[in-house]
Amino acid sequence: MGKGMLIDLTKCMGCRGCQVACKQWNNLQAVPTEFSAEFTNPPVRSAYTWTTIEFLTTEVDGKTLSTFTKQQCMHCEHPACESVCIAAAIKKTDAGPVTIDYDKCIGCRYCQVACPFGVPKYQYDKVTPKMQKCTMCADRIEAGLETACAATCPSGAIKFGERSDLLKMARERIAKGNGKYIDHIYGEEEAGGTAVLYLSGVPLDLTKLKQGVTEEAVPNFTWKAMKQLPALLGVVGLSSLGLMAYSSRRNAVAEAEAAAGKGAGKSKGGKQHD
Amino acid sequence: MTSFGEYRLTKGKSLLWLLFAAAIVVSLWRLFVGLGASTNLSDTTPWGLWKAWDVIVTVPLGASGFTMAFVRYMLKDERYEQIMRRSVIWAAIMYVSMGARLAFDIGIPWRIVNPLIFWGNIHSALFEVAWCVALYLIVLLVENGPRLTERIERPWAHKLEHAIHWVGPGFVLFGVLLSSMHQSSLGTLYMIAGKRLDALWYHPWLNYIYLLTAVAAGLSVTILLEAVSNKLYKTPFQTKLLSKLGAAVGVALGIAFVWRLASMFIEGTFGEVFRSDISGYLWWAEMLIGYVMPLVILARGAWRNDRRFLTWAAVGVVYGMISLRMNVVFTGMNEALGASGYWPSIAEWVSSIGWTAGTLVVFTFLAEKLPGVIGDRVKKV
Repeated sequence: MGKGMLIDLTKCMGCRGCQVACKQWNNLQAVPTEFSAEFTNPPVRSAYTWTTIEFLTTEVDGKTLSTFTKQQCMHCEHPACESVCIAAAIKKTDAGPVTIDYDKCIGCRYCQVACPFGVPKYQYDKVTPKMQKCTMCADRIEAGLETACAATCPSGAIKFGERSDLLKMARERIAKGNGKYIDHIYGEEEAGGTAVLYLSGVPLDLTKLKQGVTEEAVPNFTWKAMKQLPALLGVVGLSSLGLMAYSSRRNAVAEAEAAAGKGAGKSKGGKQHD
Repeated sequence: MTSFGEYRLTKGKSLLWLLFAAAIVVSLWRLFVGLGASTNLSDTTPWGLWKAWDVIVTVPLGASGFTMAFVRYMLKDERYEQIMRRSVIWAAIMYVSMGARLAFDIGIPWRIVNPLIFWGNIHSALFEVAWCVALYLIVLLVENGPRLTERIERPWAHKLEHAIHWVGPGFVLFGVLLSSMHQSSLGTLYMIAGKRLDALWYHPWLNYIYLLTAVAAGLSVTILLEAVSNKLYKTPFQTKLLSKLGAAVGVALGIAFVWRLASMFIEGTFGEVFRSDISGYLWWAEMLIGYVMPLVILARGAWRNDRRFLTWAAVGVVYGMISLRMNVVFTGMNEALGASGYWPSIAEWVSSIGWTAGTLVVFTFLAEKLPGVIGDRVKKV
């Protein structure tokens, strides 16, 4: 099993150090920002901002509650983006990250339609654009390092490691937390399982984690149709051939009848052979 | 018999040629400024007018080709020869035009054939569409080949014509298979969204709905081409032949209609149709104009055999086909993608309108130039 990250939202203090580390390691250019109602900054993730802390301030029982949700690619175990990629440019690597090969990508942007988390971002400002997203620092993993965001996180909210180990750790934390955590590991089942896992102290609708994500592996949605293609071909092919044989016979009989009936052999204008 | 060798450049055709020229200029300009600068696409609206109209709608508009080739060669009905010729030429124009337009929609246009040549992904419905369309272009060349060889009075052209005649039915079958695959796979594209797609357009087997509506729309386009030819070239409207196609349209459309409603009942989402917002209205328009109206007409023999009624039914079916595809791309996915206020840019409009105008005017050109496409005129124009 591959690597992953466990993000403990109860430990996150919203410092956005991870955002800076991500930009630094991946050489991502700064983007102009703007004021918004929330503290999320930049307000949206883009081809140049792969991770953000999304702030959500709500009122619960008369008290103000602020949550900080680190968002980036979830690195699905069965990625929708990989399955739809026409150019086979997107790959789930054995090490865990889902990566994009820029030399193969043609820019069809189907992955943007397919991703249940809305992760891939395109360089719409470039003449020869690239599809961009968090790589889980695949290059750092190859060099035996942990991800840049995990390495920089001062409160230890981001843990990097084997996904299976992180799942165990998450279960332990829930068990020993005395109600500190809700009993749900986000990413264990979502989208058929993701390499990035989350623990939360508050119900998920008080965080910015995407709600209502399917628990089925998303590639199955299209594969169930595609695997029927041989059967479709069989049915259409055989019925076409059958109709062809029937029609030939019908035409031959009609011609023979016409010849026998009229003697002189004047067949109908419409049924002549060319 | 009148000769149709000359091309008459009327005012209307000149306008269409101009629009086409404008579209080509815009497409070339797009190569230099990039996708983002020429369109209003964004991360929340990754697929816009060019993908929806110029690809996903244009392909089933070309479904006249495989459906009529099926009627002519599988049902071996020679009375449809001339109607088939027209439908197959129309299909070739739609597919070639679609391929060209698709190149400008992808981020790096010159990489368009890379997935087919160097690498690919059989799990991708888009990859499958690309392959089937590429192969179907060859089929369309073979199916239209005789139109070209008939004009060349040379021994080699005659030999080629005979060869095509001999392999023709095989290619027709190949074309029917390829079309069944890619017409349905265009529906598979959006199945990846699962229930993120709006309940009004979600269907567990969207691929078969797309195939059925493509068959219905393809035959309807054939009917409309006859109606246009009737107006433009004073050729007869062969009501008897076309009403039989109309019956087939009714069957395919009826299955799609019942299946769509049944699946909404099974999913328990039928209540959504009473939503009073723009998506609800669009759904009702699609159902009433695209399904109910044509089905009512086509179910009645007397109406089916009436030129006007049959033409209106065909218009409805094509509207329903277009509506389904546009709604799946835009209305049905807006919420899931977090899209807000996408409206195509001027360049997107000029390109889509111009390329569409191009298909129409190139069709008139080929129909008038190639033999046996227009058919006998009732009276000289």
